[in-house]
Amino acid sequence: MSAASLLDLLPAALSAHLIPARRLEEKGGDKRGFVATALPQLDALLGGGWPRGVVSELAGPRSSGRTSILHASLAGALKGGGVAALVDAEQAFDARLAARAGVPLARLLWVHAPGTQALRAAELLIDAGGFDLVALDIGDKNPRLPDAAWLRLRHGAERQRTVALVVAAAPLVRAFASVAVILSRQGVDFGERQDARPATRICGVTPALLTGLRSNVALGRGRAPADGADHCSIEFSVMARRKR
Amino acid sequence: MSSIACVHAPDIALQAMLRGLADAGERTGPFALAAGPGGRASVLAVTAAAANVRPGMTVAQAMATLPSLRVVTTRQPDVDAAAAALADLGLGFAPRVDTEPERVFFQAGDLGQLYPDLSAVAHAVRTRAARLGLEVRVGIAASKGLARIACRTAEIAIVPAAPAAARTFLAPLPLAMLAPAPEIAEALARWGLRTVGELARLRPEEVAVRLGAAGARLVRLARAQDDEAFLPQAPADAVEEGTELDYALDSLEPLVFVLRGLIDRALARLACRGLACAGLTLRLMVEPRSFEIREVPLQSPTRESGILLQLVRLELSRRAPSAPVTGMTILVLPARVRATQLDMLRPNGPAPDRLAATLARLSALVGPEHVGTPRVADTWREEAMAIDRPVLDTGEMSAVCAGPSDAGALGIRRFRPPQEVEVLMERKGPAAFRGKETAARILIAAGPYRISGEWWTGQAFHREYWDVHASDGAVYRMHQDGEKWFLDGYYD
Repeated sequence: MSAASLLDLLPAALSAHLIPARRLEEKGGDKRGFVATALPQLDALLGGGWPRGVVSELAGPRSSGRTSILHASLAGALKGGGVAALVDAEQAFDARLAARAGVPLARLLWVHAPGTQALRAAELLIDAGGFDLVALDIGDKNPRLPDAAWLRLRHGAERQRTVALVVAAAPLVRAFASVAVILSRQGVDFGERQDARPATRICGVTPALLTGLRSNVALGRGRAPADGADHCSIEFSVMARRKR
Repeated sequence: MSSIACVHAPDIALQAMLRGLADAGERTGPFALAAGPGGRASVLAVTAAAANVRPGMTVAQAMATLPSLRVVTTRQPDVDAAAAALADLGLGFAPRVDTEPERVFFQAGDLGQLYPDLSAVAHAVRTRAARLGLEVRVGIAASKGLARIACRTAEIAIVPAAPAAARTFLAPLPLAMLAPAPEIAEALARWGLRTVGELARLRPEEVAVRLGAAGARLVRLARAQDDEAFLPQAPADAVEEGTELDYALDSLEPLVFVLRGLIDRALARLACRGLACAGLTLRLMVEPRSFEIREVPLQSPTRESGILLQLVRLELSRRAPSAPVTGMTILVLPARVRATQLDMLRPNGPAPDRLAATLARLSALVGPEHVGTPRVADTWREEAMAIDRPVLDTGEMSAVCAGPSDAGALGIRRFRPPQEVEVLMERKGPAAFRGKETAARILIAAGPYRISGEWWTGQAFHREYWDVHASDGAVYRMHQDGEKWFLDGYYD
């Protein structure tokens, strides 16, 4: 008796929940195929987080929130007990604020590799396998990088089921990225210092206090979620404190 | 019953010179090891391919006999390395070995779990020896002295453990197999004794009266009653390989070429013991008579010679030898690559050996100081960040993985080192700044935030920090230190 005829014999309600063995991997892919970030809004936009096995891109100008999203992505990837790597082309990583954002630094491998060495370092890390997320932070300078390097990065990510996240000031990866998130500045929030005393005032004016940034996050490339929203707004706060 | 294996590398000085040849195919040619002053140098040992050349011939005679003969001379570092490689060969089979010139002994009795019989052990020893560039003979017997005799009889010889069977094994052997002292051999020949069996029929105490204790010991050996103690020694802390050069080298590439051979040999010795290289020290003999030390830092143990070579090349290009190099020794620190217990509830993480290889490659690519695990530095200087040696064992990191999450925390992108800028000050604070890469008017300035510290170290700092919203749209962090202003980075 064939599998199809066996399924016919089962009650309709039960057969609806059965999955043929050959489709198990596709089905499981939805659950295991994403690495969630620590930002629910971004996860909702991406349909669950950064997809595994592809190159994703995060681009935005200065103060658009890309470093904060990078920290949130690392925190999310490491939350489950995995390991992640950050290739830092400009040595711009701030360990203190990353730790405050929830990145367990002891599980993060940091590599400072300038220029084209950064791509080679990312390739090596992805090929090692076992990393949930390998982030390549190109920095503000957008060097001209060969297409073949992006292709190798994509194949490596696909082979190792790793999230390869490229962070840059402007889109670099183009067609080799399956997901591109484009950031833009929405606003800067300043407040008044709560502890402002007359002595701290300058010319009688209460000094300002930076409280946060607002960013517009748009999905430039990739599959939009079912509700159709392809952008969202995220607020990053200076004064955010650890949840107790 | 215990079994002692004796591994004998005959003519180890010659073998040591052949190990130094880069091409293994070359080693099969006719070679002769010569020693002695100038024109009176004589041949000490020859390879099998040099059939007509005999030890004792002068070099001129040997060359006349076989014009294609290649004559080499002894170099002590190579001989020492070959002897150490022989000891490592034994350590690949047992945790402790007993060594003597050209020979290594180890306990083979407990290898039954790994090999079907002692003959298989002997074959495995010869195979591993070939990997180390050594040709050896293996003898296994119940005692050290008998194993040494067995070595002399054949390339692989197993002496039965039972005393009666061992005596039967020894009986037909010529007396030379016992390697008696020349005066004892002469006396035995005078007595008309030719085989070990004939000697075994004499009474030890009577032989002792005529030939002394050495004679009595020889008789006991002939009767398979060996009392020579097996004296096990712990392995050396580090593996050393070295060579002296025929002429001085003053450029990097030839130097690396020679080092490749040394590194390959050292790694083969470590592989013999199931170990990896955890650290490498290079000792370069430079002209006229001096030496220089280079430490090659390794992030994690590795077994890949390519990676080590890359790191050595990096180190030598950073700090080139101050004079032409006449010889070199490498000291390799052995370490075990740790196995990791996987966790059912956590991702596996990178395989330790692959991660170790990757870390070594990354170190070679960008320098070991640029690879590691970041740590918040214990200082009030905001830009400071400490880098630790990367933690390889992901199993140990479970305790630190559950860090408190602060979703939506604003990050900062640092300029390292901070960029010096010129700042236009107004009464309310900074109004504009101009640096090499960035120039902007300041729309909103929040500050100053005063931070000072490290007065106790003599490197005191007193800074006033400002968060400024600039006209280019970015929010910068900047500080004034004395008269100078610096851009620390921007909020992002």
